[in-house]
Amino acid sequence: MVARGLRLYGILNLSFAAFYAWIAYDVAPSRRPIYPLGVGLVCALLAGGGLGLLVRARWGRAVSLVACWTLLCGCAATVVALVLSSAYLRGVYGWFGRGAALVSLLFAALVFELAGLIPLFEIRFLRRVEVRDTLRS
Amino acid sequence: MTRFDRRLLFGFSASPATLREVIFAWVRLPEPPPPLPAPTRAAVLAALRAHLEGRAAAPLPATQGLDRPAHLPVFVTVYVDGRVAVRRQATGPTLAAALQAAAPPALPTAEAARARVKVDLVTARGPVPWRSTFLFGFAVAPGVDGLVLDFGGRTEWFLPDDLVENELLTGLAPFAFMEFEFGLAVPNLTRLAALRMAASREGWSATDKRWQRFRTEAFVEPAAGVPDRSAALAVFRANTPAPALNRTALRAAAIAGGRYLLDKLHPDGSFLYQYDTFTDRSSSADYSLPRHFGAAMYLAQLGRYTHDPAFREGARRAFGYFEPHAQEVMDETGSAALAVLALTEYRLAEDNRYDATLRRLGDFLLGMQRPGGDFDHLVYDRPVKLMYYDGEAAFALTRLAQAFGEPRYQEAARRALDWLTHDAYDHFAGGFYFGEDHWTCMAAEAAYPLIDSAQYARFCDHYAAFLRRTQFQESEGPDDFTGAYGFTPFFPPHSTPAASRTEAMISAYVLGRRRGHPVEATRRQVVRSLRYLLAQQIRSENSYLMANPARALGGWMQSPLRRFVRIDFVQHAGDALLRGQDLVPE
Repeated sequence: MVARGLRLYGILNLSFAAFYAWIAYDVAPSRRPIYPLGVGLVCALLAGGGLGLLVRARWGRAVSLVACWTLLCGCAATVVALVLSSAYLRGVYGWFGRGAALVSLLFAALVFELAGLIPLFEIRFLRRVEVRDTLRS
Repeated sequence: MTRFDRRLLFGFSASPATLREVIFAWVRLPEPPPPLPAPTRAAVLAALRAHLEGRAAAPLPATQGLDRPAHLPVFVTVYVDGRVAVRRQATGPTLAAALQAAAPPALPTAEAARARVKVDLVTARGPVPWRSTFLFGFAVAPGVDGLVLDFGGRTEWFLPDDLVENELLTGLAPFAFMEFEFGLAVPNLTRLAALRMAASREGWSATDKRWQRFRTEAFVEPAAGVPDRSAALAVFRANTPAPALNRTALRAAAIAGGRYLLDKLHPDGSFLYQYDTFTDRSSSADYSLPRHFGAAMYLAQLGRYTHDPAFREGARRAFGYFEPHAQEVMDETGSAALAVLALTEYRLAEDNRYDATLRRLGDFLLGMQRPGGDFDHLVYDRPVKLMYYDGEAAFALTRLAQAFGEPRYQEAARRALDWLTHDAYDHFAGGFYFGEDHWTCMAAEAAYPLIDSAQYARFCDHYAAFLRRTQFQESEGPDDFTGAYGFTPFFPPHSTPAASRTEAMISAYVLGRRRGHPVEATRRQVVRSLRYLLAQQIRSENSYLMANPARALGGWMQSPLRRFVRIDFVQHAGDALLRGQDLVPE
């Protein structure tokens, strides 16, 4: 069970690292440097953690935990920023900005689904005693 | 993994793939035969014209592509003043025989001289999911596919041009606030089909029927007045091949756009606002003052560029519309801004007779500016924001600063540009999108070097890169879409977004070049769009569906499917061609 979980989260981490990189650098690039830098950091951590879990290295768990917490914090910050953007657009553009404001809120919900759920489950898994023991042995 | 698991997995992956192949095989049209060589097309048209003029015509030789069997019909249509005067169809053992059988009858001399003969060879026919109105709505390639109805043993063909001419390809408009229409208008098509079949409502429902789509190879003879009428013009999506892209062609097209506007200028200075190319009717309902002054600006610009007094005189006449409507103009930031742009454009090459008016308008714009740099848009409803007005006002203040050299205009223009290129996007989501910022970049370029900031140039370069992602590139979609902007080839793009964005991209490139950092990708982006705009302009060659081509020449329609011309379509496209010339190699 633990072995299967390590394999699953290892693969998920690697896959999502690639997915986030694709989103950030190709599909929806931002012209603010903080965004590609932040996503790059998350991708590097996720890829490192994923590899570590796949080879069952003890550092893999630690790196994955750091990656998951970073991702969660990033996700929360992004959601907050999108909600603030929504308010800004509505405030500045009034009726005309209502559509853009709504889109911002929809994106906030999407960000939580794409970047918030998996790290929550993974953190729960990695904190289990059996996982710690398996990697320690 | 158990055997059951494996079967389940296989089933899940194989079923969609199989289904995809089955549907694909069902709806796809067979490969068309190779197109007829140009000399053969010309020979066909010459023979058909001889029939039309009542002259003896040599039979078509069954060679050079005409020897292939014509199991699917060929259509010969004679258009007179944009209307189908004669249409004949035939099949035959060879194309030559079918074309011979479909030759038109002789028409009176005057009519024959005005007429244009068009040939449609049906090359492939296939099914459509017509039982579902929704699926049927998306079942044809707009402007390229025709539809054929089998109705109780009778067959009725709707050529691609028929669907365009009856405006059957813009049936869905999901957003009331956007000029965005697409999909087959199935109820209208049904009405037209029932009319052609002389079927009552009950008769229509009770009769066995089936729709199919088909594709054609089409060519048309040149318009009357062309020395060599035997040269065949290929037709695709109701358009003929574009002129070669070079500076001469761009200049000629820009001037033709100006002539279109002059033709639509009334004695009171207003323009005939919207012109329907099918009906030769026009409308000035919902007359837009910003668009009026945009058109006037373009005439002034052409006057400055060509030194042709007709354009200067036209611009002055259009300015005459200001005083009787001054109160209306100064109710909205956009109208006042465009009026400033038009009058300052005139001032660049002519005299300063409008300076007093400019100062009134300038005071009004300064009064509308908010402390942050952006603007109130409506005097009577301050909180409301409208598209374009902030950028237009920034551009106007820039021009006023240059015209009068007064610090108050310069400072206001700087604040407006700072807001547009920074504050408007100073939130997280603002890093991911751009609004309609084409006036912003035109203002930034016009401001240089009086008002200079690396931020403006960077903003415009980012805007250009953002727009490039939505531009149809070579071999990314249908060839005739290349250079236009859109997010899917399902919906034929409109000309004006390509035109206004190209105006902005020219400014972005020129600003970069003047600051020492030209972006070659932006120049290529501009050239791509110029080619598209040149192809979409109404010329005598592509006017065979128009009731009065002389009135439409030089204009740009909203799209190949919505065939009306509005003054702002012409202004934006003309300005793009005029200013874009320098970015095209000699």
